[in-house]
Amino acid sequence: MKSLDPRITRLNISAHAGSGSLQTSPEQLATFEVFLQKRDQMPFEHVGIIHAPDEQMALVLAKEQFSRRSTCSGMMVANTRSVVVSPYTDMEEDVYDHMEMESSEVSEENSPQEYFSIFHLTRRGKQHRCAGTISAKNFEDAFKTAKGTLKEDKPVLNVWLIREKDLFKIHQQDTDIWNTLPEKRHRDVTSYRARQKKDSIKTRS
Amino acid sequence: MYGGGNIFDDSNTDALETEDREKLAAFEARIARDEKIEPADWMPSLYRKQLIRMIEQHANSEIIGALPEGTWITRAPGFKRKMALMAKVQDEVGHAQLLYSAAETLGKPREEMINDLIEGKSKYSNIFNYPAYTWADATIISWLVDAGAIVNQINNAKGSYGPYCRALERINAEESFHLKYGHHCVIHLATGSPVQQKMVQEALNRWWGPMMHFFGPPDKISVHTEILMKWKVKMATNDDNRQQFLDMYVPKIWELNLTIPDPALKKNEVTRKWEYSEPDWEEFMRVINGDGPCNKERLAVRRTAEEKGKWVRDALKINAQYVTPLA
Amino acid sequence: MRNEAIKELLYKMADDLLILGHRNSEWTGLGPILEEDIAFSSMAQDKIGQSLAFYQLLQQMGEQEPDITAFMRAAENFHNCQFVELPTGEYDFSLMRHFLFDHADYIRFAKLSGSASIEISQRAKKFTGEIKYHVMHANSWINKLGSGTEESIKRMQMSLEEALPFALGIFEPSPFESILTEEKIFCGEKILQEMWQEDVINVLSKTELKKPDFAKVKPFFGGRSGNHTHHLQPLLNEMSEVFKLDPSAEW
Repeated sequence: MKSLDPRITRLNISAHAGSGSLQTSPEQLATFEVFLQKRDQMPFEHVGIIHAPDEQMALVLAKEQFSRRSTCSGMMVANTRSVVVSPYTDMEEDVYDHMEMESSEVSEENSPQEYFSIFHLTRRGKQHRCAGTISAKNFEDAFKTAKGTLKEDKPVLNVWLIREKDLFKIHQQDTDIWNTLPEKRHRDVTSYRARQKKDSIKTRS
Repeated sequence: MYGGGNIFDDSNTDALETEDREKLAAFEARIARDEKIEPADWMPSLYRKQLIRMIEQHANSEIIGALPEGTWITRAPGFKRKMALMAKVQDEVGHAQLLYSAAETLGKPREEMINDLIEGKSKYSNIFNYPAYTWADATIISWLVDAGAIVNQINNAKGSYGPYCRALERINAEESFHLKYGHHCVIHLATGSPVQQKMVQEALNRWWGPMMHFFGPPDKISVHTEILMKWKVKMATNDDNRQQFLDMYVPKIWELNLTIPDPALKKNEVTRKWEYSEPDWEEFMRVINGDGPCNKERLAVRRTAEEKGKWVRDALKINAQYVTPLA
Repeated sequence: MRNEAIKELLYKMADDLLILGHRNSEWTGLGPILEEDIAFSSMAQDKIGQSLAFYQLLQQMGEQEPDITAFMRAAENFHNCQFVELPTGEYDFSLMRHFLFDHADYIRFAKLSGSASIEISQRAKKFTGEIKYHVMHANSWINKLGSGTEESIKRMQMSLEEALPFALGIFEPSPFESILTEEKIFCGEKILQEMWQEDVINVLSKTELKKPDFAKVKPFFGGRSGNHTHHLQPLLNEMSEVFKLDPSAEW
């Protein structure tokens, strides 16, 4: 097939290529929830998902899908399956006041403490934002602890809990991958001013 | 970018008869007070179905939309245009990723959506079935098609489904560069050499018809979508969107001394509405149903890309365990 | 002579980056997975942005302005290695080229960060983060596909063998090697190649791909002195097709 696009012509596609299903395997690639820190000291915020085979690849791909613009000082991912989600509340109720966490986990009394990162949604339609990291025995315990220590001024409508060990981050020494981000002006609106050219039309007519 | 003129089925509200009345009332009340629906909320299956369809069409439009401008990626003139066009087309692919991800939260896996696209079972914006003959065509697309998309996207960002709104917020932020870049290119051509001016005028002549189709058939012949407006799935009528676009961009086109190939196009100062020659809606239906200049090519290219990439995906899928994404 | 040596170094680096960035941009919209399509395109833009920085430095040294240098030269005046002008092939070849070339550039930029030429060292330092990411990305993919399915391993092995002779062409000695090393502008291609071979073997040994025996690979030289494959001129014709409609115009 000859195309107006020389790249397509080079693919040598038959115009009558194929019909029917792609016969892809029924499995889907897993997804990883991606969290981004815009600037040092700011909380990590949820920005979306990446389909990837593992956390290493997820980080590598997330970097370009979610930090192509403005600034970025940190990024982390967690397999969607590692995220424990609280119920969503109604009518601006605080999930900490009105819900109990049901956890399928059973922990021994003497089981070791682990760290959990807690993410809050304070407005439907907006992003989950990291509220802090706490130490607890299991998810249910983590939710109770978060209720005690991480409550906010406004109602928290939904909570995500992720074990620290399930969160994979870009290492501190690798944050230089974002060094030139502010200088990449070709995606910047300010690189496309054309006032003088437009004015040249007015002077002509 | 994407295109408006979503193809909605005549929304058969009979399906609502079987839904739980109380839950439906609570759902509609939430929407009425402008609170977003999140994936874990109860929703009527008609809402879920129509949203998947709409977001899927939008995502399809992005990935197919990468092809007309992609035609000129290897030939962009000069460093500035080369890097900008690469970034712009890359953004379209990025938008497709964001949108398929939003649709996935409703329960349809991405590969199923891509399969449906390739098999012709789901649609994408009609405008991408037209050819980008010259560099100037690519610039007109970058400017006006993106402008049209932004009109839609800004309206849809106020819709009811959380994940779609979040995706649109990200998309709209990236679109501002697209619009500025497209306009910048067209200004340069319109103020350039005689060869450049001719190229851009001819491109505009080719793309004006498809742009008038862009927002879909006029309200008076469109299918009934009242329930979708009530549920804030559809946020504005096709004609409203079209008027908004004309209001914002016709003056900008005229100020470049370009002519629009519709002598009837003018703003009625009394009604404050734009008047224009009625677009050929039969052509629109023909093209959207497969008979446009590039339909076969667009789908063949997408199919080929997927087929050639299958071995890569297969290698990554070893031990893959998928669950529906969260937000 | 020092200036000649520096210009030659800059031209070959800029030409490599421009041609490879151009080739890699051919995948935009056509990649095997959306997320990877996006990442590959970003890296192509990085490469082109880096080439522009070096063409701008060349302009400061008296050469033409970057658009003219990049879009108006004929193939015989380009100094890129033949490796980067080869067609994209299938994704296995493009990934393998990305892996082999970017490891070389990572070391090259690291070495040039200590160059006696301030202008070069400044730019090399600036791009360290970008090339670090490119190598991170390449390593992830080689790891995954080099130990994936039977098909992915077979494809990557074939691409590796096809690419190696051309990859060695990256290190074709320059007529100015001794000046560059004496003046401490650059450590030279020989050291670069040694370090690169070690890095490449390091990554490949963690996969099911066979460790290359570099001594047995005969390099394809010629690109640095303007002897190119039949692929370069058509690439340049395509790249400059619109620009040449009117090279003096503002696009």
